[in-house]
Amino acid sequence: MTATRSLWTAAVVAATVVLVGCGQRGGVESAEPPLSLAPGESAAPVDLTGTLDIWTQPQGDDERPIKAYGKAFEEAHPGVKVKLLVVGEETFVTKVNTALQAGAPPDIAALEDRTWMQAGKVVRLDDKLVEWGVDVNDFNPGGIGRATPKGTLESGVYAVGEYLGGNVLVYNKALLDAAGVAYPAADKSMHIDEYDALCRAVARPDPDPNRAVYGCSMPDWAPPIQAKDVFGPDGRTTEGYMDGPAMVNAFDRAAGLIRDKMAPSGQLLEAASESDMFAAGRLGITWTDFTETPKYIENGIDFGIAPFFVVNAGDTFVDTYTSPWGTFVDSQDQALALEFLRFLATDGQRLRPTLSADPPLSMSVAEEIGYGDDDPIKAQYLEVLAAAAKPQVFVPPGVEAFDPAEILRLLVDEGRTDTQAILDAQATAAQKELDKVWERYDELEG
Amino acid sequence: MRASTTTRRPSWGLRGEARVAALFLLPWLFGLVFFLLIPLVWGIWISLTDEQIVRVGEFVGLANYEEILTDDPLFTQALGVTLRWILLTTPLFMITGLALALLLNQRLPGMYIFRTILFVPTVLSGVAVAVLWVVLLNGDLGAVNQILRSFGIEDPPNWFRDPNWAMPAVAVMGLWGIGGSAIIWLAGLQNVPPHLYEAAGIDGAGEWAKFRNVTLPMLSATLFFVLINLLVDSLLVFAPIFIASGGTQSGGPANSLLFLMYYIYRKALVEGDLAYGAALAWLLTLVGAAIVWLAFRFERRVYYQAGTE
Repeated sequence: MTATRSLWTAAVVAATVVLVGCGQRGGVESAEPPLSLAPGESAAPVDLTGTLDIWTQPQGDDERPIKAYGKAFEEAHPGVKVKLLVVGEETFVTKVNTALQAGAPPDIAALEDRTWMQAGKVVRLDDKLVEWGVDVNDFNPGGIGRATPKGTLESGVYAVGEYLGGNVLVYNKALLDAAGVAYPAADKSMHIDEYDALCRAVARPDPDPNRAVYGCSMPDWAPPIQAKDVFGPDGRTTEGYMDGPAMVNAFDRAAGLIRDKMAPSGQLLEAASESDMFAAGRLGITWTDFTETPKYIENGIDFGIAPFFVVNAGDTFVDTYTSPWGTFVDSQDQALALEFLRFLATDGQRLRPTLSADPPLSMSVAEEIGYGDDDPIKAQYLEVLAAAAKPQVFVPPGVEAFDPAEILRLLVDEGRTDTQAILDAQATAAQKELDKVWERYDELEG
Repeated sequence: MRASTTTRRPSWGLRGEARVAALFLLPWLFGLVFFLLIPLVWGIWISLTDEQIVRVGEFVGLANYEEILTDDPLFTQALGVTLRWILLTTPLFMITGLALALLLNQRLPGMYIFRTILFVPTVLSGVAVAVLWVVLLNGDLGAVNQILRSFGIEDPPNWFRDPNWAMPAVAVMGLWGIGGSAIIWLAGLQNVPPHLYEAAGIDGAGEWAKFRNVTLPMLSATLFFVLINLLVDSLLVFAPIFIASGGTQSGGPANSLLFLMYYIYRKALVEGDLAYGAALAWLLTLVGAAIVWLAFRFERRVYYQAGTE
């Protein structure tokens, strides 16, 4: 009898050890010093307690902003502990998916996969925002579009962001002056043909990549940066867009710049940081969000900011984004999570400009706090974003047949010249996938 | 009053040492059942539904398998890449591992240091090794191409950007970790009884004849073990491809690195199509089972066990 009991005890202990091992949640607690809000900024209507689990992919700057929000939130709610878990960009979505499958998602996460919203896994916030006194129209449309399942406010707001980031062009004034060319406008995008001409004028090619001065940057994702140019205005059509004349011209231009060594190749950029090249004065025009600009200032680069180039004449565009923070239907401590989201939608907007150079997502708050009044670079950045930030047309994930890196490899490395045929082939294959992913995505609704 | 022997409680038919053994095996059995058998069966069920990672699925029969086998060119591509990898690397890794083991088996001063050096890459993180090789094999600035250029090769391979060189580049990464199988070969070599070599020498056998008629037959068990391990590992290639493609969905230039395992990951965990991924995983299992079955068939012809013949 004793032996049998021992067997059962051993089994229970073994099961407990295994289950505890699997059930533990790793977490990195924020280690930033306390950050106080100005009096009256934090309105904490409810007395909450508990632990708020926040999951994010790396945000840059050692996650200083989100750690600071956590500290400020803990100060406003003494009974609350904030735990932050930073997961690598490549595995973040997989980790959240796994947690959703297990019915144990975090309280707050950066909603990097909008499928979660479409499938009803995320708490919808439209009514909450009204309750919190937040006008969603104050948020920059480019940024807040990432918080919706289909890129439009009509499809529902499921997350809040606290800053506005944008991939803008940054140009080295000295290199453009030396080439005798005018600076790009801040309120209007260059067409890719103009960008090509500017790039060639600035570049000083050299067979040795360590000595060359490149005119501009040409990442493989740049020609199709606007989803509408690739998948049409409804995000459901490839024919005439992905393989249309504008896209064919864009890839020809892009390949030409890399082939002629006016722009660094993707291969080169795998080994050398583009921002380091720009900071060293070896790149005329680069792209960046605002995170790299301190490096340029430190290196004494006098630079200006312009919207991204476009492939269709008349467009003006900057691809903008924010961290879309949201809470899941199955999150353990939803009341706490919603209070944190309220904090981000209100106080967080004012806090963010004190933590990084980015403007807040709320344009009315940006105006209210005088963002850019003390810094001409910030003022120019805001001018560019205000003029060119537009929401992207939404396309569900899973269209693999369209591969810009492969197109450029064929054109540059293999010397192919039949751009139209390459794009036609990818457009045909991609349409089939597109139909399938839209069917699956639409099925998720409700 | 009955004798105690008639009131004995059931003990699962185990007594004494068997019961203790069962006790020690319990944690492992628990893991086997809950983390292998149940997920395996569950995987079969999911593959017969249209389950997505964010939505519970409905039964669709063999629709996923039908789509994979009749309407998925990427599956064909991934299967071809995986089979090519097996054909390229299995003989390469076996011969290289054995050659290194033969060298390490020499009685020379400092040999333990060489053995340690050879084994070090095996204990390094696969991800760290992959990152290192991606940088070394960079076409423009990588050290390997710089060295090749210094030897007068003006147009060295563009490694990970050339569909013809991408797989050999990954094979080079794999060769760096050959120490693991070399150690197994070495253990096999050291188990060959020295008197067999002495007898062969007395019969007038040279080095090649000794290797062919003594070493190889005596290593056949090791050979089979290494072969099965390499075949199974070949089906599970993932980390170097994930790193070489920068963690994106790309399967390398012209999908030349789209291994089946990587394709399953993309479908199931990146796109969230769990059902399709599960069906792909079961097809990979069938492919693996077929290959291992072939290896066992082959083994019957070549396997030599001392004392049986």
